[in-house]
Amino acid sequence: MYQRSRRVLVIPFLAPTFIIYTIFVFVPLALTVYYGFTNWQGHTLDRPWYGLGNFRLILLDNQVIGAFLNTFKFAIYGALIIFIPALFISWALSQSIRLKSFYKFIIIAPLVLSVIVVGLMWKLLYNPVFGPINNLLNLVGLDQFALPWLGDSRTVILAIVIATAWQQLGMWVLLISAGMNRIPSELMDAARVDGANEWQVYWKITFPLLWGILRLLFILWIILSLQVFAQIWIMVPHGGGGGAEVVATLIYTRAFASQQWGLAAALATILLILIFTASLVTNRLTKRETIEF
Amino acid sequence: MTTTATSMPGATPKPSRPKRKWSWSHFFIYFVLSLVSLFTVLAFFWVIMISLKTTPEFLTTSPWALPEKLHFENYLTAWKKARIGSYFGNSMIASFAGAGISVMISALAAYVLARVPFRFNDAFGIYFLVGYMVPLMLTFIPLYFMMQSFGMSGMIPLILLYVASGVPFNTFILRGFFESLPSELEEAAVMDGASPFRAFWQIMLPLSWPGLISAFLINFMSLWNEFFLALIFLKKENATLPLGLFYMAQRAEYTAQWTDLFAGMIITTVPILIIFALLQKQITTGLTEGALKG
Repeated sequence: MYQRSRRVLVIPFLAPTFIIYTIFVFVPLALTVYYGFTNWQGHTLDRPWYGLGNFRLILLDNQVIGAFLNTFKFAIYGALIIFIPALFISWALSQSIRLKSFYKFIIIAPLVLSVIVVGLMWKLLYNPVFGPINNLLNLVGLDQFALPWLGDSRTVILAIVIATAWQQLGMWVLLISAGMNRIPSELMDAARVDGANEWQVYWKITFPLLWGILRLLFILWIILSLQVFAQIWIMVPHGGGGGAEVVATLIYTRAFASQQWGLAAALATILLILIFTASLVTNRLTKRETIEF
Repeated sequence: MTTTATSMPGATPKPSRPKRKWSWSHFFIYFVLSLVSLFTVLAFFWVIMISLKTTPEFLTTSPWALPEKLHFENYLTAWKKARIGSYFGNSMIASFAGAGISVMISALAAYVLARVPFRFNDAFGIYFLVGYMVPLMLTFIPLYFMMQSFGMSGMIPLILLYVASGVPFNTFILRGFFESLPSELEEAAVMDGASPFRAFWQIMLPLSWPGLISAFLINFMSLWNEFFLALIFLKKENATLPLGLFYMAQRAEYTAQWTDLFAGMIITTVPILIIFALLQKQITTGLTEGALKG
């Protein structure tokens, strides 16, 4: 009786969210895919159907291929750089140590910083003239490593990945720690009683039980890195002459600078499909039997 | 550094800690944790120190040199002359309105999805979740022209998009929250003749404050930091803090007004760090739940 009476709430309560979400998230999504199949350029709103024309152009465009390669580089470097430190730090924070909440606060804090602050801070840290990183390297006699990190196409992606990883480490530590807290301590105690050392306890019990969370973190990282824009745009405006051009910065310049709206929309569509499939593949590849506890 | 350490909540070690033997693994743990933390603290300390130098001093002395005199007036210059004050106001408006409206309307939707069984309940839940995986950054072309054809520019389209972008996370997390509340209170209220709306407004909504606040904070922080949509919809004159700093940094390459920029970075960061320090628990729980349940 009372369930039914509450149904009067359905339409008025759902309507505002539904309308705003549909207009500003769903319709633009559908339109982006549609525009990708049109030859829309320049100052007109004229959008002639172009079939797969944009996609053909994309495959033949070396700049586009380079941007995709840089994007993949960013995703892979980042995953490799964050993974081990995140595992170690969250393990360390689970031990009985002093100043635990202090360490935790400092390590998670970068996560809440604005990408502009992180980007500018690292850009200035890397600065070859007044940046402290190269200054320090010179001081300790490692002059050969005092490179113009952001100015060299060989190091620029790595340098930006390090800045991003420094910020994202907080998310990894946060989620892995939460995962470790959910593991009942009896499991570990039982193994210890049976004579396992801490190393075995970690790799045989804790790590397998964290697998679900690590999988999630890899997916989140892939979603983040395939669409990475702000970090690049802030640290090396306009993609640093190609060395740091990623797909998202390319979409932006192809849209607003060259006004190839159709081509930019086609690139965005490809990126969308990539994000979806990459998440699915990561999910599938890393699937192990889920352990309920 | 000591002031940072003592002002941190819960930083003082608890006295009742079990005594442990000193070991190499412990030494290693402290060494790595301290190294990582030291880097972050030093990087911040460096930004603060430079924000207190004069520009010639910054350009001529070593990056590690402490300022000869603390030039707090840099903050005043940044706030007034470099317009950080006006960017700050814009950021406040955009983040408050965006986060507030988004949490408000999402709470209504989440309540219905969580507590009222109807035919398309699950379909709506999935529909709202799709946006979780679709970054707004990839749909900016239609959005840009849509706003133009609506004749909207500046803050209004930005806030609308901020509201929309929060919907997937908010409906998802608040739906879980409403589902976890006991239904007896609400049923009793309806039995006593309260209208369904009153049962929501006077019983369920007050109970859900913790969830609403946690959702609001996470929205607020991410909007405070938002860069891409601001870049597309705002101009230099009506920029939010992230965008304003971006243009300041570009300008500094020519004018060498670096110290203003550093002061601006600190001004942008301080409010968010204060919120985080005070409400670390709510924020981290919200972030964790949002990710783990998805």
